[in-house]
Amino acid sequence: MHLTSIGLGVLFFLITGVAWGQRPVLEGAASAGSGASFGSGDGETTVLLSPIFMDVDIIYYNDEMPKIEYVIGFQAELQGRVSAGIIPQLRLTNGPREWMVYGLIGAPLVFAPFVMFGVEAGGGLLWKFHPRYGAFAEIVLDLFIIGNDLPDDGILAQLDANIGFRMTF
Amino acid sequence: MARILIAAILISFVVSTHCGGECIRHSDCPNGLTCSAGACANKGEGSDEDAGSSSDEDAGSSSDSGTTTGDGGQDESTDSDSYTDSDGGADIPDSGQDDSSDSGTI
Repeated sequence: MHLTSIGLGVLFFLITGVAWGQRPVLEGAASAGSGASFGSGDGETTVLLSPIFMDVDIIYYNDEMPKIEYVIGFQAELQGRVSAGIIPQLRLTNGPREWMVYGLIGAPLVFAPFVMFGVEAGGGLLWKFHPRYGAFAEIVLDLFIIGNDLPDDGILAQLDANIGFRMTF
Repeated sequence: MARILIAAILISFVVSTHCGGECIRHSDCPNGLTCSAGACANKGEGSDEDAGSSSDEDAGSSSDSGTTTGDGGQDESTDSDSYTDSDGGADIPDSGQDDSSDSGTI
């Protein structure tokens, strides 16, 4: 029984990063943004406005390791097309404070109505104007390398910015 | 600050992402068009490779239909024709069978 509980605790820690005595914190965020998209044209780089998108994020961390955040983001493009995607992210922050700076890496996957997969990196600034609420701005560089929405042998780079609100559940 | 953000959002809505038919992704193009070399084009116009592959498929289907007519007709002359078609197979069909496939498609 004791070994079982230890085993479950280790498994829980491996999955969530939460050990006994740590308090998990769950936060949510919603944002919207756009930016510039770069793709390969006829021998030169084509630059277009990125479609306006909306993001809904579920952010998880524990209070003993508040500088590491695990994020599942849901993103929808809403301009010129409607697409849906999911973005797992890992964020490193300077800890919970009124002005929080963070960097992020992620792996965006657009799954409907077409498929695109890539990697992303970026950073953001969160202003917690209330113990439970905050506003943030992010700049993210996405690099899509695989997908049936990309021309043959083409890659898509997007430099996007988004702003939104974040709250603690 | 809020006014600037609202203006930026409105501007990005107003400015079309499809100016001049430029594209980066297939979804930048209207329905039925694909993105090729930075411009929207019909699927068949994309490249010679596309046309080649489609003609190969057409040639295959036309030879199938030729075989079936041969079976139905049972004429020796048509049989010999179908044999020459199949013999020409890989090389001749690009020029010869394209016409037949086009007419068959139409």
